[in-house]
Amino acid sequence: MKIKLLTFAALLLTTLNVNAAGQTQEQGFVKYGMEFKGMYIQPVIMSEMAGMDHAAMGHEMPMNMDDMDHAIPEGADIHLELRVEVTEDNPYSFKAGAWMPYLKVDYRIEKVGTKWFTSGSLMPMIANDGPHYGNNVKLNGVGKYSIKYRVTAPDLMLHMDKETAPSAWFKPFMVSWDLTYLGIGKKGGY
Amino acid sequence: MAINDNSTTASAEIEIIDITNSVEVVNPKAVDQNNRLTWLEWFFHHHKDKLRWVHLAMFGLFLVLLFLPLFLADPGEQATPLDNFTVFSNYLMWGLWFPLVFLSVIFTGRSWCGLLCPMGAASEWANKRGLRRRIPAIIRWEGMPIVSFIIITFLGQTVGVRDHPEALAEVFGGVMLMAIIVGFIWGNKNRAWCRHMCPIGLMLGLFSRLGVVQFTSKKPKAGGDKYAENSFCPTMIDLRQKRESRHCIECFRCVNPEAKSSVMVKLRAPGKEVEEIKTHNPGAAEVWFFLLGTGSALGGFLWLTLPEYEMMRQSLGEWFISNEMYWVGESGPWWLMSVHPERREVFNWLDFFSIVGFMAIVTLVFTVVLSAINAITTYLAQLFGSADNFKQSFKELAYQYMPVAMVSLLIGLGGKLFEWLTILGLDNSALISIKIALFSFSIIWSLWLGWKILARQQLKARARIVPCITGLLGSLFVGFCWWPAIFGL
Repeated sequence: MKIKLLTFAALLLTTLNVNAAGQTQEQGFVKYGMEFKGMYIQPVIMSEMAGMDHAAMGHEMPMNMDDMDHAIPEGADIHLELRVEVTEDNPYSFKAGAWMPYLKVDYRIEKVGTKWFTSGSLMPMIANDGPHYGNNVKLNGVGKYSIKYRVTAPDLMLHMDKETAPSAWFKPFMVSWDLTYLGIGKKGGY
Repeated sequence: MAINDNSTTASAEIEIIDITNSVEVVNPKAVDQNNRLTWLEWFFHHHKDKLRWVHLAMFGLFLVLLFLPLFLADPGEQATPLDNFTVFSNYLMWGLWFPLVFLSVIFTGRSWCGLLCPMGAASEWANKRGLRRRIPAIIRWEGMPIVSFIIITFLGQTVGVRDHPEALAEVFGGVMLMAIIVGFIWGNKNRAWCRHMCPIGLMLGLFSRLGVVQFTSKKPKAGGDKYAENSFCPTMIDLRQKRESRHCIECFRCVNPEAKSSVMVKLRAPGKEVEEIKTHNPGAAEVWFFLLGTGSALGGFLWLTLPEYEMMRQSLGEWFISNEMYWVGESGPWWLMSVHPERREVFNWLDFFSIVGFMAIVTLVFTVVLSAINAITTYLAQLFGSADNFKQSFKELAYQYMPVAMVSLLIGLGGKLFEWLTILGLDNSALISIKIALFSFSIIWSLWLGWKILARQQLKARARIVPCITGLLGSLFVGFCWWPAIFGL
C-alpha cells in the first residue's frame, strides 16, 4: 500500500493537468502522438469479461444483453472513460483518428476537500461510438472530484533495432481532470 | 338524511353563470339539418344502456395495464411489447393511447371522454352514490384545468411517467382516484371532474374545436354558450344555447333522434368552429391554457432533447456544490421524482429543480414570444380596421395557432405512432418527409384560419395580408420550437 502511494506521489510530479468541468473534457490533451480525453457517462451494463461474449456476438443481435449473465453495475455512480485517439503526426504509423489499443490505464479519484479516494483500472471496451478504456465507478456522493489517469505504454512487443524501432515510445505518465459530479440523473440523459 | 338536504339546497340555489360575451341571434326555424348523422344518433340512442359495460371493461383494462406491471419483474434490455407485459402496457399507453386519443378529436371530437374514459365514468359512478355538494367556486374557476394540466405535465416528467410503470400507476391511478373523490363530493348527477379538473379534458376540448363532429340543438336559442349547473348534460352545458364543442364529451345522453327538441349530431368542415370562433365563445382562460399548456408540453419534450438542459443542470449543480449545499445530491420522495438505481436512473433535488426550472422557462418563453407575436398581429389588425376591440381580437387570433400546435405536439410527444409506418417498409428519411408534410400542412391550415378569423373581424382581403404574415411568423415560431422533433437535432 505504502509503495503504491509512493509511486503515485512520484508520478504526481509528472502530472499533466487538463482542466475541464462537465462530463466530457472539451479539449483533449495531446502527448506522444495521441489525444487523451477524459469523460464520464451514466453507469453502463458491461459484459462480464472480454472474450466471453464471442458466442453472443455471433448471434443476429450484435450485443444481446439478455443472453448474457450481465452485471447491473451495483451501486456504481458513473461510467468513467478515457478516450485515446491517435493524432495525425503520430510516430507509430497509425491512421489518424484510430484508437490506441493495449494501453494500460489506471485511475485514482480523490474527492476534493476530503480524504476519500478510490482507484482501479480501466478496461478496453467498445460501445456504439467506438472503442475506449472504461469502467463503472462508485463515487462518494455529489461534489468535486479530481481524477488522475495513469497511462502506461501498450503492452506490445517492440522492435528494438535502430532501423525499425518506433520513436518516442513513452514512459508512464498521468493525465488529470477535475469534475463536479451531480448525481446519476436521467437514464440516457448524458 | 344529509344527502337529500344537500341535493335540495343545491337545486334551490342554482345559478346560471353567463360566460359569453358575444351574442348572436339564431332563428330556430332555419336550423340546418344538412350533414346530420341520423344513423349515428340511432345507434347510440338504442344502445345507451350498454355504455356502462364499455366503461366497466375500460375500467378493468386500465386497472390491469396500470397495476399489473408493478407485480412483474423488470423487463430485460431487449424486451419488446410482444414478449413482455410491462413493455406492452407502456407501448399501449404512450405508443397508441396518447397519440390516438389526441388525434381522435379531429375525427370524432371528445369521443374518448364520453364513450371510453374509465376515469370520467368512475367519477360519475361515485357521484351517483356521493354527497352531491354544490361545486365550489375554486373548482369552477376557469384556470383550474390549466393548473391541473401543468401539475400533471411537470410531475409526469419528474417521476418519468413514460419510462417507469410505478410512475404510470401513480399518475394515472392518481388521476383516477382524484376523479372518484371529486365525483363523490361535488356535483349533482354530473361530471364536475370532466368539466373542471381533468388534466387533459380541456386540451382535448380545445383541439376538438378543429374537429368535424358537431353536437347542436335542434331548437337552438340565441344568447351563446352558458354554464348550467342544473343541466341534463353531465358537463353542465346549456344544451339549447350550445355553440362551442369544447366541453361536450359526447356521452350521447342528450341525443334522441325521435325527439323534436334534443340535440343532433352533424358533420362539419374541419376547422369550421375556429374560423367562426367569434361566435363560438372564445375565452381568455382557454387562450391562456393553450399558450401555457402547449408551452409546458414543449418543455417536457425539450429538456430531454436539448444539450442546454445538461449545461444548465451542470452549472446550477456546481453553484450548489461551491456553496456547500450538498443536500441537492439527496433524492426526494418516490412520488415526486424518479429514483430507480436498478434502472440506472436516479433523480436528486438538483434534477428536480433543473427539470421543473427548465420546463418553466420553456413554458414562459413560449408563452411570452407567441403572445408578443399575436399582440403584433392584433395591433396590425386594429390598424387595418378590425371591428373588434384589442382584447377580443387578440383572443380570436390566438386560435389560429391550433393546427400547428396540435401537429407539433403529436409529432413531438406521439412520435411512437409514426414507428408503425416502418412496417410498411418506410425508412427514417421517409418518416421525416411525412412529418415535414404534416407540419407544412398544419402551417397552411393555421394561415387559412388566420385569414378567416380576420375576415370575421371585418377586414377586407387586402387589409388581411399583413396581419396574416405576422400570423405565419407565429406558426413558424411554434414549428421552430418543435424543430428537434420534426427534423431531428
